[in-house]
Amino acid sequence: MLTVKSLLQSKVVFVTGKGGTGKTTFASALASQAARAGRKVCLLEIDSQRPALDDLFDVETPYEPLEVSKGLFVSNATWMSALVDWLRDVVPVDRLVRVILDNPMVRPFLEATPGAREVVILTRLLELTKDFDMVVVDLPASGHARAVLRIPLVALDVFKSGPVFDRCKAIQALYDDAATHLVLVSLPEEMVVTETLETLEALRVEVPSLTPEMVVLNKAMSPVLNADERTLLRRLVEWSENQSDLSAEAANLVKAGRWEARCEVGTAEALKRLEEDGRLSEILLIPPHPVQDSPAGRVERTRACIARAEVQSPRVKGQVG
Amino acid sequence: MDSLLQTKKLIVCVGSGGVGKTTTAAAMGLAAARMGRRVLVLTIDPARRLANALGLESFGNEIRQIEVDNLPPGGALFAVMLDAGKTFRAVVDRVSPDQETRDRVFENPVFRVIADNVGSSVEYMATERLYDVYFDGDYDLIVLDTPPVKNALDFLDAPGRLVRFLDRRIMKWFLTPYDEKRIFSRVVAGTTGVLFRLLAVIFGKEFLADLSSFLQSFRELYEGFRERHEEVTKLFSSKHTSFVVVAAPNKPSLEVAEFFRGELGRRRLSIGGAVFNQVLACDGGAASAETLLGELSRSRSIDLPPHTAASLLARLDAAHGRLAAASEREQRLLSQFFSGNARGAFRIEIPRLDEDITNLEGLSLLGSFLLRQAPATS
Repeated sequence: MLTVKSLLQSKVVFVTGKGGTGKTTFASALASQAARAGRKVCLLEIDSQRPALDDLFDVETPYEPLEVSKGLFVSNATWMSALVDWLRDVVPVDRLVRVILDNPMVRPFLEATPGAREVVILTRLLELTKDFDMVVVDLPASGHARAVLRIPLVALDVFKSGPVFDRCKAIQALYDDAATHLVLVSLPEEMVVTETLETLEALRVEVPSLTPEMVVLNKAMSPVLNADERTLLRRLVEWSENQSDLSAEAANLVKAGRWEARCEVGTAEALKRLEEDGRLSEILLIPPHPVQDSPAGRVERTRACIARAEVQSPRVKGQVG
Repeated sequence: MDSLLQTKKLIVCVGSGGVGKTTTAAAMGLAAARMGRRVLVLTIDPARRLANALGLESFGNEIRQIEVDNLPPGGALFAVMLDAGKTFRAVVDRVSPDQETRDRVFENPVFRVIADNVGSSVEYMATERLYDVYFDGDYDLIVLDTPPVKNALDFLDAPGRLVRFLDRRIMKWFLTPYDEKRIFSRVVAGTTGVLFRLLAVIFGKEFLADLSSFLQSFRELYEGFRERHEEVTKLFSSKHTSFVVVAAPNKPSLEVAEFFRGELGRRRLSIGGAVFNQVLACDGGAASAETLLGELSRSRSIDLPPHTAASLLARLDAAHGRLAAASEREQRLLSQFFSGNARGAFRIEIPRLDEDITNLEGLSLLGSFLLRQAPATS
């Protein structure tokens, strides 16, 4: 059973979720917490032209892992660099690698060959697992991520032998490894949770050995208003809707209260739906970050949540502040 | 926005994921249908968001008409969610000269990977599908929702990659039958021979043989693909086409939007404007909740336990502080991005709505915000 504690001890963690849910922040926070515990961790972005990690760590995320704090490295697995590495590995003669890369026919062939990009980049991940205790992979949004993860498995049918086949086998073995996990990041909004549940179902079919056991619910607000306060708030909302000369200040107050009450209810509903799925062993709640937080500040705050959840017993949800 | 919906034949929505792009596309489609146009909303998003927004349980590769009450004469709304695999199979079915050829293609392992893998073929199929529906001429307007790719205009680039691959020379080169004897026995001059052997080593001879037979059975179709791609490329730069950038008021989303704007400009594609979804819009105020709502709260809570009013008022102050701070930050971000908007381009801010949009009423509400257009800021 996966807990936050065992997640921090894993070898590879894939992180995905719908766009805008806070995947990169969570992946960074997880990597950062594992590095604090003395592990050598690589935070890997997949073939990004504009790495999201740049902002979080104030660097230009390079291909070769760069240490941004003690034990924490960042890397961007860009396709062309990974391809050169891949070819060097498969074709051990440098001159022949150049022959391939310089040929005007081969580049378009490799770019259009279905799955080549994904296999080459996941092979880069395999290489990194040799040098690091842990690699946290910040995958693209869930639909795309599913395709990326699936390709090596599909490719096994196509390449019946040879270097591509061997590498896909190795990627499959990595998926099967008990120390490899996939985490979905979600938000307490109806459509986002629906998308999370759909992704869960799809992954169970497509990449069974990577079935997610943990969902991270960002912007989770635990209920603070009691039933009486909610009743009164509802009365104020009704009153405000019937005022033709309502002051902007009063309207904003009611609006703010209503907004937060809705977030509280949304969190409870999201949690209920995720728990009903029945197969998740952990739902980690991360409260909303104050607006003044910098990207790095959000990572640090999320890291603190992970640290708290790490020392709690399993099945106990992360704290909501 | 009004004139865009009234006059264009193709509107393409671009932006990062999670900013309400699909919902915005659906709302624009509905608004245009209300103007009496026959509209198709085409989404290539693998998640079922548009179906959700249109109140459908799900819908697939087939075009479905959406029931909308009180549309003016001529107005109609259709939607389709692209299923890349099904579209590809349909195309093969259409161009195959006979059933045997078709079956051979369907059974080819390379074809199966392409067709079954949405990630690697959705862009090609989007072009294919767009071409079909556009040039069939059944619709006055097509609203195209693009997949949430932050890096590039992949739906524009990916078919180009395919076309470059289909370049005659390359085709000829690859269509050399890949049986073992030929590769290793024939005398091929210079580096090409080396390459052939290298590719056989890298990809395995079986794969190259599969790929070769796949390409051979696809020759006709590939020619068609290239023509279609060129047509669609022309279509994107046509005066009947407009791009709308969709963003949320946060830095990553706005940066992606800015990137898209630059890319579109570089390609000389026409940008209709930008839509900013989920804007908080809440000003700070000097007066406290006690001053503004204290008496009212107490009078409305006589039947509730004491302190209810006091604790709610405290919460309102705190919530207001948070919301106003968030709103101020958003406004600061919004003013930083898209500041030098192109002349004539609109810029629309849509407030964060109380409920998720899961039905036509929600889309109508969103549409009413879209049509309340503001002039460009510069």
